[in-house]
Amino acid sequence: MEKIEILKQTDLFRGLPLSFFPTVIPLLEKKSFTEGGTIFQEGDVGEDIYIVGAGSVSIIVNIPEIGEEEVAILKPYDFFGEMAIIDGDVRSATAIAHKGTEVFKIRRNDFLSLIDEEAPYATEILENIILKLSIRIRSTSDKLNMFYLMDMGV
Amino acid sequence: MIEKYYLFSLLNSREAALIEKRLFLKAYEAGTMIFEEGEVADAFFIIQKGEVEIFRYIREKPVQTVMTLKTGDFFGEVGIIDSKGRFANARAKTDLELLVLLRSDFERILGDHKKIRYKIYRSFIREMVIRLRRSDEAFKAFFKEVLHRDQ
Repeated sequence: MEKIEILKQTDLFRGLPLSFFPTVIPLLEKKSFTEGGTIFQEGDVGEDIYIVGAGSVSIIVNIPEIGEEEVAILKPYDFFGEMAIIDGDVRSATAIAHKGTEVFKIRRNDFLSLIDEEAPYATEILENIILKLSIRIRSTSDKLNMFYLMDMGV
Repeated sequence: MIEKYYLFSLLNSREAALIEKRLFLKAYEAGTMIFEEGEVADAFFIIQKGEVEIFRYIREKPVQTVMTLKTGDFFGEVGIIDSKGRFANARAKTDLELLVLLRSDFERILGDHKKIRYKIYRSFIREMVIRLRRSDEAFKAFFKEVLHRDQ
């Protein structure tokens, strides 16, 4: 997958002009994974933000005494790993690659420079992240509601 | 002096004054609903005094407490951001004073002032990440509780 295609398609950079992409392309680093490869682990210090290039990625949380629960499956152009970049805290979940997965990562400091107050499209990128976070806030609550219902035997 | 509120803490006094002009105060008695799930989101709120409970009904019973918010916190931003309506209910847990910012005013100010937009987005993101981490914990706690109850 071409880097330029990733940038054009991912929600992370939605609404940005093509002329901006040459600034971002050198920041993208491609990594390939085989089935079951760990991209990052819950509890790790978060160093990078990722965009899926090919294949798919499972986001998994570990629930003590119970086991692993898959909370999301990400497809090409989805981005992930932004929470730890923003607050500097550890990964809240584990990211596992499926067969033939390719991801593009941007290092934390490089990404922070893209959302610096003086950076040309910082506000647009922030808006794209906010949209994703609001979708996640909704879906996490929906999921919890569904489990409550199941627990009530409905 | 709205810069004391987290959401506006990055604004300079001139920027804060632009927003302050548009805020109005609304009081609620304990137990009153502020908004309900599914409603169109036409405003968001900053708590000047009191506590707010964000919750969802599960089979007509208010079971899932999404979170409890206190003085200085904001809420109602999710519906403003993605325009999909309120995903949960908000109720005054105590007697309450809210600062209200109408969506139309919010959008006009952010459209006209890119610096303000940037700074408010920064604050939004930071807080939304904190809340997501909390809800991830709630998710895990739920499973643990079910497990221990069934044993």
